[in-house]
Amino acid sequence: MTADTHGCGKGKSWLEQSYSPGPSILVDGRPASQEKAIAIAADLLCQSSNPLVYGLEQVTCESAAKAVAIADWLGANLDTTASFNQGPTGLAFQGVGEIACSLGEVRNRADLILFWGADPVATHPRHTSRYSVDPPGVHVPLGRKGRFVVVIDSEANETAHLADLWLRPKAGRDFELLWALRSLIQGQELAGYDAAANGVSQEDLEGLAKRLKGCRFGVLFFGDRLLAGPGHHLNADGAVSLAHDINAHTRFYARPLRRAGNPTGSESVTCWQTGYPFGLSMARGFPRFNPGEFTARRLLSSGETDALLTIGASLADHLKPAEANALAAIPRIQIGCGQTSDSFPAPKVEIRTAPFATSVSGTVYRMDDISLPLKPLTRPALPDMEEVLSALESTILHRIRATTAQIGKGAH
Amino acid sequence: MARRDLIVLESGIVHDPTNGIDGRVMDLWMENGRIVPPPNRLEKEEATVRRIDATGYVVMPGGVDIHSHIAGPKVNLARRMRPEDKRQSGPVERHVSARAATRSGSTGSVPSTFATGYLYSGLGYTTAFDAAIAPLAARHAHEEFRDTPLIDKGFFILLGNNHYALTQIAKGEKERLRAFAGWILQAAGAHAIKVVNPGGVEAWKSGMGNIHSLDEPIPHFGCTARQVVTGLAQAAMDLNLPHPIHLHCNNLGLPGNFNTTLATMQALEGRRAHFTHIQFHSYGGETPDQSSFCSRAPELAEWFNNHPEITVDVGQVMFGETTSMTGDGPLGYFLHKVTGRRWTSADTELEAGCGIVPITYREKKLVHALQWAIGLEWYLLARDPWRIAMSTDHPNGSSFLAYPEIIALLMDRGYRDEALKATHPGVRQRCRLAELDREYTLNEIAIITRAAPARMLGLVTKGHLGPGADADITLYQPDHDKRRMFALPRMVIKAGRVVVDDGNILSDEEAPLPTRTWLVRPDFDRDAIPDIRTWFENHYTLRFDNYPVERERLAPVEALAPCGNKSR
Repeated sequence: MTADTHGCGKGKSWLEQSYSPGPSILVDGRPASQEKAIAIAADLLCQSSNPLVYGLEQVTCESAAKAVAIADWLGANLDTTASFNQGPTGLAFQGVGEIACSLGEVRNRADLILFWGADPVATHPRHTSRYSVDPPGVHVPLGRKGRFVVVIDSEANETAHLADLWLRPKAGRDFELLWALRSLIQGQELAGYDAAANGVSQEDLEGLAKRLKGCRFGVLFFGDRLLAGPGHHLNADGAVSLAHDINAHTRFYARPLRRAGNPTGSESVTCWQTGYPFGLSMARGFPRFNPGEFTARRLLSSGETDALLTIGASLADHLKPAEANALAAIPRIQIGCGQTSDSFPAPKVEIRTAPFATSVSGTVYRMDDISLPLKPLTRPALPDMEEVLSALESTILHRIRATTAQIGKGAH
Repeated sequence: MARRDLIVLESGIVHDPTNGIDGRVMDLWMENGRIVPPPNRLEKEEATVRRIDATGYVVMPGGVDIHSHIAGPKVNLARRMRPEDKRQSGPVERHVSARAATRSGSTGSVPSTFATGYLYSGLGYTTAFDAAIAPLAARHAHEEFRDTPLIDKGFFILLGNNHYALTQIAKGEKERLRAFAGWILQAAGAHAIKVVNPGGVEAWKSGMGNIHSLDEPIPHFGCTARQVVTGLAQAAMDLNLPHPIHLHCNNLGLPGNFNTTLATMQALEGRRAHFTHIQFHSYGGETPDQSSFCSRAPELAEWFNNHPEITVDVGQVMFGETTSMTGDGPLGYFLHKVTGRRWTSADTELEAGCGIVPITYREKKLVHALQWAIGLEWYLLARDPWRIAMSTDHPNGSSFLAYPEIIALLMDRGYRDEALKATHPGVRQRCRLAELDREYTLNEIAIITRAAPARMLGLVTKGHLGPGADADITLYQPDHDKRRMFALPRMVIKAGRVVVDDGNILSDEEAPLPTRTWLVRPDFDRDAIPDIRTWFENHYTLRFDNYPVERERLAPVEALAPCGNKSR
């Protein structure tokens, strides 16, 4: 492999990700064969009464498809990292819809970019140079000079340094600002606008509303900070609704800045196989969607789940201490990237698969829903996740069929 | 020599219009997933023969849906947008037994992938085409196809607002346009060229409204919808594609749009074209006055009846809750404004747009009732059933699950009259449905639901039961209640395997029945590729080499070689 000279800092550390040396397949912390590990995992999952399949971030779409299949055959709960991150966006899409475009549309047409609660310079370093701020596009031949860039963020923000306008509301006042902007776009008077509480003057807000209406093609990119805190899905709802309103005047879009890995692709797979994006239960023999009931946090904190299969993500990172304790108490199977905390007890079965960034072939989705082929740069001597999940799926299905046949014999 | 494995379907009442068979009692022989000629006595003795008794059952080729929305980003966005639609509909339950292992799924107007395969199959359909895939979304569509069991599939790619195509059309570069169409069909693994609201989607994406007539210039490109339609229709013919351009005209859904539709038919000047969901394009009245709405299907049907180069599918509206989804971006926004319901829009760089809005068609609402009636008028006014295919533009007019109901409306005038009486009273003055007394025969139903769509698509092994055809067969229990008869086939055979038996889906996802994706591999001028590559690298946000769908990621394919003009 040769040195990567084009990558940003994040890209470099992404490509350098690797797993600790040592055996890749462990049962109870001891090396084991893949067959044995899969047999034990299948037993554990088939005997569980309410398992949870979780993760699907550092996975290809092909692996995600296997993971959903496993959850379906088991009658398990299925949840993804979206329930801790972009879940609110999913709920907002169900409430009001979404206004999406691929990133090439942004590059070629956008003359107004609004980052809200988002800091792409810090989180997505190539976003501004490739798509949203700097590049010349077909209808934006001047590049940066042809675009007006706004940042709305209550906190320190690296992207704000290259913006034309930075509005800094008080923390937790995003919803009020979104709604005030909607009123202005709809041509209503702002009654009782509380500039002191919101941290943005009415004059600034009116100026922004005028720009939003007057642009030719605008995009609102929203980030994790807009989605943090209580009522977060209402903020996402507000962002999309604002874009709806502006479309009465001009073309305007609202898009989340999604995380690294393939959360967009695995959400797409989950959606086409089940109809729902995350937070599912298959326990009744068909998918039911109810975030807050079938999402990982609630299933762990209530003690309702008695076995956990994590695939291509670490759950321990997100949990509060009490939830982590609940997690430590149940048998776990871990496939893909590992847990980060050494203090956490080892899983019952662990299969470290080839690094997602460099050694996997399959399909992944860019944050704008464009599917791309992933080609491996290296072929390390580690198990391939898609093959491992295929083997696990077929072992589980054989067990279920054997049980069905036993019951059939008993009945006759 | 190994013994031959033969299956014989015995003594069914066969309707195979392609081969001139209209209700003849006969045996059908199958081997290796295909129909074979009846073996002689010696051949029978030397083979293992499995018998299926079809005595008393109506036997037809498996159904073929020429225009449906079942895969790709637009369909998946609609799934994501509408949890309540699924919660209100019965789910598909997971089933594991010795005979079958089927996945669970959700239904409603936009079923999940496995459910889509099972539901089509359960309806006696064995092939369905998705009508609108942006080439950049082709990989996604193929991925969903891999998870859509039991039916053969294919899709059409959106080219009517593609920047490279519009540029070549504006420059009058016919050969370059043809080469580009050939290249992109092959890169996407697609079956045909789709044109949606030519130029209008691009105008909308540019923030410049829409295109409402054939001769207004498309913003930034300067060519017209007329040039887009004729240019791509000619390219499809020059590439010898099995299916001509699949055309969604400008002004869908607007009062008075029949003028645009008729002008588009005339603009073709004898070139072949398939006019899709023609019902949505057959309206009289004044834009934007909804109260002036009326049917102009009779005028269009007259032109259609006299022009054998034109084929249509209907896009029948049925009453109830559904989801409108379209590559016609401005139409999505229009529906959002009309209905006040949630709206999803998704634009693809350089290629296409999309709009999704929930919609409820109500029989007491004049416009909706008229849309329903105009669809039926089309079926009844089209003289040649070989040029009209059944469709609901699933899920736009309704789910494909409404086909049995439509069949009942076509076969039974009394039933149709009762249904008409239940609709808005204004309908009778505004269309000719009440005076049309035609009733479809079983053979005509077999034509518009399988034989004709297969022929229009150029699927040489589909839609008929002659030797060499795919052994895709549906058995129906004859019944005076046509809804019941067509909703619950007694048996469905796909590629020689029984996949539905008395309503039970016999798929085994552990060892799935191989299904095929239909696509074309046209010959085109490869010298055009360097120019396409340069343009591509300058405009797209991905690399040229990452654009074509990798062969190894495709389901098994049925590649159609270029063929001659297949019109009869």
